[in-house]
Amino acid sequence: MRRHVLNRVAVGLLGLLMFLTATFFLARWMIPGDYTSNFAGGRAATSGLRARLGLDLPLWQQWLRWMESVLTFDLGEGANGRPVIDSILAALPWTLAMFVIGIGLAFWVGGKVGRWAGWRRKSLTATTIGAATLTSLFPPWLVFLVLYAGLNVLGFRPFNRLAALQFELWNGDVQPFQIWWKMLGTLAVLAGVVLLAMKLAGNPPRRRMVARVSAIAILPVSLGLWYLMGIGPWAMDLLAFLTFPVTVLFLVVVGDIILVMAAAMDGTAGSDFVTAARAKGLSERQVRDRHAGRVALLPALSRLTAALPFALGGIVIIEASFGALGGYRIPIPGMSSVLFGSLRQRNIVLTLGGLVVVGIITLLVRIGLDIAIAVLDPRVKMEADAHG
Amino acid sequence: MAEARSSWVRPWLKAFWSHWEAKAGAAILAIFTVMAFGHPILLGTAWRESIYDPRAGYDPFIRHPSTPSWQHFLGTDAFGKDTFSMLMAGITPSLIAGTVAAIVTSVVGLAVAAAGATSRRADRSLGLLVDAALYIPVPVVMLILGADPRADRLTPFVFGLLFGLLTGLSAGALVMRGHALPIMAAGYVDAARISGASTRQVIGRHLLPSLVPLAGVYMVLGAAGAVVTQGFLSWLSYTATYSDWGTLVYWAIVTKDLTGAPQWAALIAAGAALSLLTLGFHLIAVGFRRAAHAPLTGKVALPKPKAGAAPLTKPAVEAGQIRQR
Repeated sequence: MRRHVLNRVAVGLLGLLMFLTATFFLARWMIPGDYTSNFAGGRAATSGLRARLGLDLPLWQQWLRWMESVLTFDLGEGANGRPVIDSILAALPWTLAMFVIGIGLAFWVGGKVGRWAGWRRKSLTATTIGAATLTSLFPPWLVFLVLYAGLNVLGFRPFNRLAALQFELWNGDVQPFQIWWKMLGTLAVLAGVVLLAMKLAGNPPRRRMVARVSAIAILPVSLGLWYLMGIGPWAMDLLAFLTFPVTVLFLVVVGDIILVMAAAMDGTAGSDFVTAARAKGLSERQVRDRHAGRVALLPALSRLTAALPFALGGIVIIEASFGALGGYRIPIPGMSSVLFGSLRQRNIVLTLGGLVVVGIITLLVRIGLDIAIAVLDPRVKMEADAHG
Repeated sequence: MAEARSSWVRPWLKAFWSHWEAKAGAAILAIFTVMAFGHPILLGTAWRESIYDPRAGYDPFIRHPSTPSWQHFLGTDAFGKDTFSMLMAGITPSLIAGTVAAIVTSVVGLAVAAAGATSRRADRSLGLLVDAALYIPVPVVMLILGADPRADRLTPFVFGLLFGLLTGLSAGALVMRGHALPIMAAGYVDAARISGASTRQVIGRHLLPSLVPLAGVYMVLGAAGAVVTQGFLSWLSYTATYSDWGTLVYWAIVTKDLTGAPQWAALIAAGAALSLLTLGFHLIAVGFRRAAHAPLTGKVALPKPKAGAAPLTKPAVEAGQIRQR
C-alpha cells in the first residue's frame, strides 16, 4: 500500500509540474507584449527594464525562473505592493473552511441518503429527480433566494448578525485569517489523532466505535480547544458567518453525491457478495451498510477525484455570488477575490498565484483520496502484496 | 463497419429510450430548441418588434417595470423590455454552449481512451496528460478567460469548445480510460487478436461500444457545467456582447424596488430556465447511465440473430454489444 501511495504521489507531482508549465504559458498569452510595454519610456529605458526583469532571456530560462519562484513561494507582488503569497494566505482559509465543512457535510449526508435510496429501489426515481434538481441550481440565484428567505421571509433577526462579522470583536488587531488558520490547524491535528486511534483500535467493531465516538465528539472537543486557546468568540463568529455560504455549497454539492452513491448502490444489488451476506443471516441493514455500502463508496470516492476541479470551481463561484448581489452583498474574502477579484485591473500576477495554490491544494486532496481508496479497497493491498 | 455499428446501436438506443428519464430530458431540450427557433418567427409576426425586441423593445402604453400580464407573459423590466422575449433570446447561447460542450467532452474522452488502447506507451503518456489536466479548475479557468478584454472572442460556441475540451481531457478521459483498461485486458479481446483482428477492429468493435454509454454520462455532465458557468460569466456581466439568462438574473436582483424585493417574475423564470436546461442534460445522463447498466436491470431483450450475422458469443455479451436478459 505504501508503494501504491508513493507511486500516486510521484505521478501527482509530475502532473502538477505540467499544470504549472501550463499556467506559465497562460500568463504569456493573457498579457500581450510584456510588462514593460505598459510604460512609455523609449526603447532604451524599456530594454533596461526588460534586462532587469529577465524578460530578454530565452523562453526556457524564463520558465526556469518561474518554476524557481513557485518552489520558493515567491509569487511576486500585487498592484498594492503586497506580496501575492500574503494575499493568498489571507484568502485561502476561508475557501478551505468552506471546502472542509461544506463538502464534508455533503459527503456525509449525501452518502447516507444515496445509500438508502439506491438500496430501496422504490424511492430511487424520486430521489434521482430531487438530487438532479439540486445539482442543476444556478448558484447566484440560489444564493439570493437563501439570503432573501433568511433575512426577509423567515424574519429571523439573528440572521442579520450572520450576514456580517461583528464589529466589536474585530476592531482590534485580530485578523480573521489568523483565527481561521488556528482553527484549521486544530481540526487537522484532531483528524490525525482520530486516524491514529482507528489504526490502534485494530478490529473492525472497535474501529467503528472509534469512528462513531469521534463523529459525535469532534464538534464539542474542537470548540473546547478553541476556547482554551483563547480564540473562542472569534471562532464562533466566523462559523456563524459561514452559515449561508456553507448552506448553499451543501445544497449544490449534495445532489451530485446522492446521484453517484445511489447509482453505485444500485449497481451492487444482485451481486454475489450481497447474496452471500444475506445467506450468512445478516440483517438487511448490515448487508446494506457494511457490505454493499462499503463497495459502493469506492466509485463515489474516485468520482470525487474527477469532480474535484469542479467542486473547487463551485466554491469560488458561490463566494463570488455572495460578493456581487446588489443590496444583499456579503463579500467573502476567499480565493475568489484572489483568482478574479482584480482581473479587471489586469492584475494577472494575483490570479496566477491563486492558480498555483489551487494546484497544490488539488494535489494534497487527491493524495488524501488516494490513501482513502487504498485503505478501503482490498484489491490495492493485495496487488501491493503480490508485488512485494 | 456499418454492419458492426447497427448491431449495437439499435438495442442500445432502445435501452436508452425505455427509461422515462431519457424521454423527459430529451423533451426539455426539444422544447427549448423549439422556443429558440420560434423567437425570431414570433418577432416577425405576432410580436411588434418595437415593443418586444429583446435588446431595444419598449411598450409605450404601460408603466415599467410591470408585473405579468397577457401582453407580457413575464412582465417587463425597469427599462421596458419584455422579459419573456429576453428569456427566449437567451436560450440560444446556453443551448449552443451546452450542446457543443457535450459533444466535445465525449469525443475527447473517447479519443483519449481509444488512443490509449493502441499501445502501452501511448497509454502511459496520455495518463500523465490526463493527470495534469485534472489540476485545471475548469470553471475557474473559463471565468479567468472570460474576464480578459478579448473575451468577445469567447462566443458561446468557443466557450463550449474550450469547456468540453478541458472537461473531456480531465474528468471524461480519467473515467473512460479507467473503464477501457479491464476491457482491453479481457479474455475476449485476446481471443479477437488471436483470430486476426487489428487494433482498429478491436477498438471499433469491442472497446467503443462499451464506452459510449459512459461517454454519454460525462458529456452531459460537461454540458451542465458549461451552461451554469456560462450563465455565471454573463451574470458577472463579463461577456457583455450578448445577453442571456445570467444577465437576466443579475438585472432582476439589481433593479429591486424600495422594499428590497427583486423583479420576481424575471428572477424566477430565468433561474428556473437555467436549472431546467441543466436538469434536461442531467436527466439524459441518468438515461445513459441506466442504459449502461441495462444488463443488471435486465430490461432489454436479447436481439434475434439475423441471418448471416455472426453467432452470439459470450464475449460479445460481456463487451456490452448485446444486452442480456
